[in-house]
Amino acid sequence: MIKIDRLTKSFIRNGAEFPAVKEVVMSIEKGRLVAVIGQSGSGKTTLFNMIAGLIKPTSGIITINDKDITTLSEKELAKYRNQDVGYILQGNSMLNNFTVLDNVCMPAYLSACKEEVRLRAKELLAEMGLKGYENEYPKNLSGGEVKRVSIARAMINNPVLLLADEPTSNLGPENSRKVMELLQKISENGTAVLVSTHEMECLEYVDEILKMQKGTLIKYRP
Amino acid sequence: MEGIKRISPQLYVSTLAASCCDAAVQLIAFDPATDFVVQPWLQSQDELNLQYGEVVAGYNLAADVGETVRFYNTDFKVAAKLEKTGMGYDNSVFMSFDTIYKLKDSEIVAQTLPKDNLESIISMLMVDVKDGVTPGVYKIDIQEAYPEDEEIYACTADDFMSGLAAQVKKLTGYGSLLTLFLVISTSLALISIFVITINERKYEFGIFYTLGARKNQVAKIILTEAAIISFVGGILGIVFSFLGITFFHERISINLDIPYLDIGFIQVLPIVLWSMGIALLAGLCAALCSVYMIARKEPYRLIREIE
Repeated sequence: MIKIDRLTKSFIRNGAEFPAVKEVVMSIEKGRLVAVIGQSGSGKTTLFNMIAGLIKPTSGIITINDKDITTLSEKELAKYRNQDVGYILQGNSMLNNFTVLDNVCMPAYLSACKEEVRLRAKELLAEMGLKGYENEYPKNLSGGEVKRVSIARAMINNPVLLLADEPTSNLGPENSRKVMELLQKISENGTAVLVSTHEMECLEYVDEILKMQKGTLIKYRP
Repeated sequence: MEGIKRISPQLYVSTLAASCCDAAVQLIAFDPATDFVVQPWLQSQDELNLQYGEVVAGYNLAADVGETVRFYNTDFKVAAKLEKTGMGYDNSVFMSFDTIYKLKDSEIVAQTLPKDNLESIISMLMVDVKDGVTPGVYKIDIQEAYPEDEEIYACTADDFMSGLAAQVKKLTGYGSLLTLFLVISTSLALISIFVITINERKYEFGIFYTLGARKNQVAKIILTEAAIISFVGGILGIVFSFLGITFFHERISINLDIPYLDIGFIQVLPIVLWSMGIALLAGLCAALCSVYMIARKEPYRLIREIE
């Protein structure tokens, strides 16, 4: 359901063209948890940003449920980012001036889908083990708790694809385990999940492993 | 001389001191039978029928209607009191010639004024010229008709007011320039502040884009924040300005040589609305620069800060 065909992204660096992602080909079926591993600077984040619709590729096609997102207008891309994909960014991506509940509800607020969104947000937070944290502010949460709020926020609009860029970075073993278990549960519920990581401990939860090496994607483990 | 429609004398007597007042008071006598300047103006302030011994007191005199004021050891009854004019009339007292002649009996007047010919001297002749006669030209005719050694000086009403009008015009000009300078410099400062503030929040707007916000939604967020900040800032500025003028208006009047500075709500309302309009416009224009800065970047560049 997610197909990527010869996806390439080049940047200009020191006057020369630098290919951050080179002719990537991959597909992910719904209900699968796929990990992309690779060293820092291998192009994982650039790949994820293109799939999330945050950067326009230099060439290639990204198809989500038969919809080529590389041809979408700015307005259609915004809708795609809001409705079809949930993106858990690396690090702390909370909006610090909003409560935990409002952070989780934000994608729904932006798309004016406000019906019962707060109720759904509370249910998601409870699933993440964060019941009672609705009125807290992100600055009062631990790293692991922030990451779980990010997951809840990414799932608020029931996306078909969940992207998680280094979701366990800066987390201890216990919190890393909790986060990976949550992502595994989400994929078992039918959402396609793509995770980037360079922590080998996370790989035991995934169905397939791909490796990024200098912008090129190779199959590491089915 | 030819060309005169009406003529009326006035006498000015300045006091040395008066129990009523901190400063010298100008006693102004007019002839009720021929006067065409003072009486109509006094009538416009209040219904008036000055009797012998009665005076109309200026605003700054510490005597109310019905009370007595004493000049040169001579008592006068206050029949009416003027509203504040912001001019010398605030320290003046108006009376008829008959009333001012009461001073003849004062010993102090005998020592300080030429009382012998009090009834035969005047300070000024008010001249109303006929239609078709130009006051400025007639002034010159008078000066030419009477040699300089007779110490007769002619001037028109415009000559009296021109100093004040010129002062107000000068202040208005300075005020307009200052206002323009302040608006430009404040707008530039606002633009810098907004751009710096929004720049510090790039990642926040990157998050909004990542969550599916459109560019016009992000623009709306920034402009709404700017409108609120500008509105609150405008209100605070107006309140503090009003308080400053209210508490320091006498000092302002003295330092800027503005004889009459009175601020009523109705008079100030147009300035308030104009100031709020400028505050809102300046804030929104400043925010537009920030909107442009955010909108032209690709979303991923905004979130790179947190990677």
